[in-house]
Amino acid sequence: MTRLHVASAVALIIVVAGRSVNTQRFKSGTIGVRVDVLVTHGKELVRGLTARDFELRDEGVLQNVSEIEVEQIPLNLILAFDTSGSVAGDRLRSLVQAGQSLLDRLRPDDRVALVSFATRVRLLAPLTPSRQQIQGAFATLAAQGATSLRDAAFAALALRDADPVRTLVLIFSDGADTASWLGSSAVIEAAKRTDAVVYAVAIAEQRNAYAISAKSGTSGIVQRTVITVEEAGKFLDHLTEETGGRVMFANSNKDLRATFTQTLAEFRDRYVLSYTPTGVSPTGWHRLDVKLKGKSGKVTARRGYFAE
Amino acid sequence: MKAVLVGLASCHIVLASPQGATTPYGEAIDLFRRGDEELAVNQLARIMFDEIIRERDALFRTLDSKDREEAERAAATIRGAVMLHTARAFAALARGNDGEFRYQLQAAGTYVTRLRSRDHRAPFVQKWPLVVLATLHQGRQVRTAKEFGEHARDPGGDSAELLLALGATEEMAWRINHEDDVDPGVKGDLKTAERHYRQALILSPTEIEARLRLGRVLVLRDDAEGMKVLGQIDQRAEMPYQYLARLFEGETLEKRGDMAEAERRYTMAASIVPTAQSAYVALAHLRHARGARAEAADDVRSSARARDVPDAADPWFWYSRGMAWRAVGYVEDLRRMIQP
Repeated sequence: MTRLHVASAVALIIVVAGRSVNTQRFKSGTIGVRVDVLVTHGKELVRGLTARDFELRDEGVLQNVSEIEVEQIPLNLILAFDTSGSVAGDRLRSLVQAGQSLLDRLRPDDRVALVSFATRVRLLAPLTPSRQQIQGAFATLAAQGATSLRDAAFAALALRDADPVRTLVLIFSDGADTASWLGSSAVIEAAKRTDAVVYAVAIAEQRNAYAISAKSGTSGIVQRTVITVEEAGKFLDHLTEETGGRVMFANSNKDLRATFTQTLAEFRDRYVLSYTPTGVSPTGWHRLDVKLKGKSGKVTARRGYFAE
Repeated sequence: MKAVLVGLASCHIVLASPQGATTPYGEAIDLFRRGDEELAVNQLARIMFDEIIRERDALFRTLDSKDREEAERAAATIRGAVMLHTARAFAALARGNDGEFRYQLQAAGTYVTRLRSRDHRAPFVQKWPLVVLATLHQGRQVRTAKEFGEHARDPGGDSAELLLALGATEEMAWRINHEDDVDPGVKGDLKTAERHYRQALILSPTEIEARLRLGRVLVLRDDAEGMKVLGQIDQRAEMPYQYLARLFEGETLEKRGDMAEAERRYTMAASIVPTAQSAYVALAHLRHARGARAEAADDVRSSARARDVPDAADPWFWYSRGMAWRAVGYVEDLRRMIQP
């Protein structure tokens, strides 16, 4: 079989047979593709599934998948925090607390990096197992300036190293991009070339709206709360969708902590499927389609990958 | 509102106290000219509309006075009033009060129209629309800038700087629509921008920014002349212009698939202004796309690790904000011009 040079992101994979403590984290491997999958039913995560419950098509061709135990794969968590002027004050304090709560929930083999972005993108801590280093970096966060959201998203994706670990890029932003060099499509293209899963956390702006209700036989003006997605939503929606992640909303600054920990918990509850592509071209863009077999639930996974 | 506006209210306009400022409106203008801008702007908020109209009409009558000294004094007061209303307008915009912003800007505009009828080439008359446009660019308010720019045009012929600002408005609007993935309320037309820049260059052939922007819109429109125009911006130009020209050349070459040459141009840009980040991001993105992931990560690390680099060290940041970088200079000029 032609050797597949699958984009590093899409993981030169590696079916886990065990875990090692040295830099070679996996004992044995098979070149293939790894796909990070989230299954939900309504608002609930669906747990307890196995590879047999999934149907995965690569360019429409059914593949033979196996499942990797998520527990066995270390995590690289790349935090990209918006520190533009609008984050100053209470929001920044809440953001730091939320970041610290994530550190408490990481496992010893997990590594973390911290990127901040305002007018410039700043790497405050490279991928490191040291929680102390990250805490020190949190202490240096200061909010002012414009918003280089797209450049920061790209930087976070580019920092994903070649290790066969799972990479979660967690972006927090409270506004639209106002300073990046890169356009949306350039960042989305870069995202397609990595296997990092991007989650974004945004602040949901709640407003009271009034509507005429005819529900349950009653009619009249009713007040309800609507969530308005910030302008950044479009880009973040697209980016998270492409990588199989999603946008999570915090209802307030205080809610950031719970939203962050929920994001990490959700990431840990995902399934990692792997397969060696068969019957498809060894290069180019591969569209992926992942479904459940005989079970109900919504499957969220990256839309495809580049084989290079 | 997230946009950061250049606070016109923070401009320190110093003016010798005019005589006879006895009404609250006259006092507000006087305060503004003395440098108490915040107080002046707040005082203006308390003055009734009809009082402003009454005072304005009186100033217009004095402006027509045959006593040249008296007329000049009225003109200076009017220039102060223009700045007062403009400052109030931008303070309102920063608060998200679009209605008051428009009302105050219109009040200032009425004065400027009157001054223009006396002398449409007067430096104050020429400079005022530029400061408004530059401030709107800073806040990325391209729809308002476009509307305002259309009204600011001089039937007797636009200045090179105004043409440059009009072109930059179109270019910004296009960029926000196409790259920032948001709807700014106006599409932005690169062809119109090109026309404005060409006219600006006819009026002022040494206007390097007009040349750079012309080159940029041409390459964005896939016009082969664009690279030629950008190539004219060489070592004789100031560093930020050289930087941007090489950055735009790199972007164009990358789109054409000439990755090696694109990489060379990005690298050149990075060496011209090493503290700027955009060239490193462009370089990293190009290398990432070519599969050179480790090099891309190194580019990101080397530029993002830099400490003590001012936020505004990147020429791209200013370029993307149209004329915003000129706002401070324009205000300084206007400050001098409101002296009687």
